[in-house]
Amino acid sequence: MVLLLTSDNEMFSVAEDVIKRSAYIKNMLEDVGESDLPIPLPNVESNVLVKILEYCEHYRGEPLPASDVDPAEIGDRSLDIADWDQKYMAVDQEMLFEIILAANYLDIKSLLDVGCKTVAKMMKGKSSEEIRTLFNIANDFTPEEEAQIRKENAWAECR
Amino acid sequence: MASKGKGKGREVNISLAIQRSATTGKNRDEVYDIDVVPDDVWLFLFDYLTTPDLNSVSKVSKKFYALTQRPLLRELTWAKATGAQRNVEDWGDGGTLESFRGVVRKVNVKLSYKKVNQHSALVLAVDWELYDSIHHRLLSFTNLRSLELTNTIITPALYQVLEGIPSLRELGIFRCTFIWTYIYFPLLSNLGRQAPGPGLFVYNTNNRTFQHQHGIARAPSDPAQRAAHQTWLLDNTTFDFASRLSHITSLSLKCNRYSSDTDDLPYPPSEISRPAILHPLYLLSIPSLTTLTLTWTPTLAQVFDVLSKNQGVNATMLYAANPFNLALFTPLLAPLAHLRHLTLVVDDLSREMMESIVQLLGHRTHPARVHLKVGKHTLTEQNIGTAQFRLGGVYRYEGPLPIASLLMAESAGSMEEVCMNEASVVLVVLETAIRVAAYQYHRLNQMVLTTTCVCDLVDCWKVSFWGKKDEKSANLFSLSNTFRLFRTVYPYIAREYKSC
Repeated sequence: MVLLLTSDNEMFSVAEDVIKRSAYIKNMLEDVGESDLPIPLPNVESNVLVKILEYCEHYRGEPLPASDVDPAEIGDRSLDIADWDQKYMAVDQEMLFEIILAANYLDIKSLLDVGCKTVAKMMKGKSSEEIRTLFNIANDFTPEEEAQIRKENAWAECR
Repeated sequence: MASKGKGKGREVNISLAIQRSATTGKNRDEVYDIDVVPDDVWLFLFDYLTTPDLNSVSKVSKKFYALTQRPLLRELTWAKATGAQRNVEDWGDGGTLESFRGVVRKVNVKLSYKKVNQHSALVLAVDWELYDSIHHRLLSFTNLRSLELTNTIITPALYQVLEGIPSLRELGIFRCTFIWTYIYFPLLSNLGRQAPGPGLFVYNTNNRTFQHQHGIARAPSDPAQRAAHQTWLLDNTTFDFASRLSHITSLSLKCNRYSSDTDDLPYPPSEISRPAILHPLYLLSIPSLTTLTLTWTPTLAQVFDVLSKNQGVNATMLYAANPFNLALFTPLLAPLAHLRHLTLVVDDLSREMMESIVQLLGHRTHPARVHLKVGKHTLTEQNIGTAQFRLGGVYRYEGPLPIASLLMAESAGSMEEVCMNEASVVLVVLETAIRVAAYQYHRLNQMVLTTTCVCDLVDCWKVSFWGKKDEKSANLFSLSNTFRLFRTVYPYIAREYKSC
């Protein structure tokens, strides 16, 4: 078992083969070896870790993804998400981003993928204004700057 | 690192099937601040968005604008002269995008290269300066994988550009016009090539191209000049496609014009309407091609016929005549040895076209998987009775049904799907269809009937089946078990059958 200590000081005891989906912890276990001391996760709150462990538990036993990604593959990625993953990701926006951040920090590639796909799907086909509303972002452009960007990006529109 | 954890907190052993509400922690009323999401996560996320979406994202806020610039640059489209010109400058040395050249994966060029003034009046038929800067810029994208040229101009200068991008795998040329020209001067210098010496060509300041001075058949008398011209001519009229473009694996040549019907180009139509050395068809001789999409037209068939013959070629026809008696012409060989998938589109299939296709693809030991689309055919009934279409490996055929039966000679084993497109002759065809389907396509697992008048077709099915009372059940069952019929047709037939 591996001990994990979250940012809000909760201790979790997790089976090694479950948490090894996190490349960050897997590497650490390999580097440090057997230890009774907990691994501190100062970037992860306990409620998020619970969610992360739910994911790792579901995919327990599945082969870990290969780490080498062909950079040439970028550009033709599909937004298909497996059914279980979709249900898993049906959380509020805060939790969704917390999961993504934790997956990024813990280096769980497949979970980061699913999280990003979920957000990308939310953004797909939306106008700039709709995206601002979606994430509660303020428009910090001046009208002149907006006009300038429209001009610059004209080539991205004509397709 | 683990030793730093001073486990002061309470220890909670939890089972792995965790069911806990995820609401501890922050105050719910606070709006989540996505500013905590680091830039690299956004960049990773933006990889899943398409160019139009990224374009919207870039206009959300200053932060998003800055972040999207890189992903937006993965695929470029140059479609309008002014926008493209400005963008090309940004990518240039010292330009704002210079450091991102390695990000670009795909470029679409949709420029007509017509130069117009502010009143939209045509100034130059071909803006060679823009042509030059576009192609020069393409060479600087070191990770470019895919290049798509649509509604634009192709000249032999393209081949050297393709050679200069070793990362390129996919090339698409759609609805383009091929122009055979001695290349415009600045283009040559950008590509590190020499302009022709004096005497061989005259520089025409009007359209900024080189034109033959007295026809090409005159050599300078000065030996040094003569040698220089000879070298230049060899350099600019020969290109070994097989060895120099062997990094390209996927090629699409669709609906291109290899001649100009209009006079708005600086070359008389007669000069470009003939087969030429360095014709884009030579791209077929790239040995590494695994995927090919091709529209085959009578003109192409004719050009291919001329270019693939070793002897008896009229040299002047190929611009191969020269005062040095150099053998500039290379026969077009298209072994396509590694081809795995071919999509072949033929608008009007004649006997000659069938022969030409077989000539192009018929002599392969390992046939590729072929998707054949035929618009219509001009074969007589006698032709259909006697002719054979010896094209192997067809797994999917769309077009008139009689052609499908001709394909059976070579493709009976590979055929998976037949898609009819003739509604008008449905009565005649249907009998054939059933016969062909039942007796010939043993491995056919899908029979798709597309027609503009599905209702008529269903009537026909009824006619055929219901006409032969004694055979109908056996026939219909063997058909329905063997083939998944077109969705709308099949339930209808099934219903009719039950009620009968």
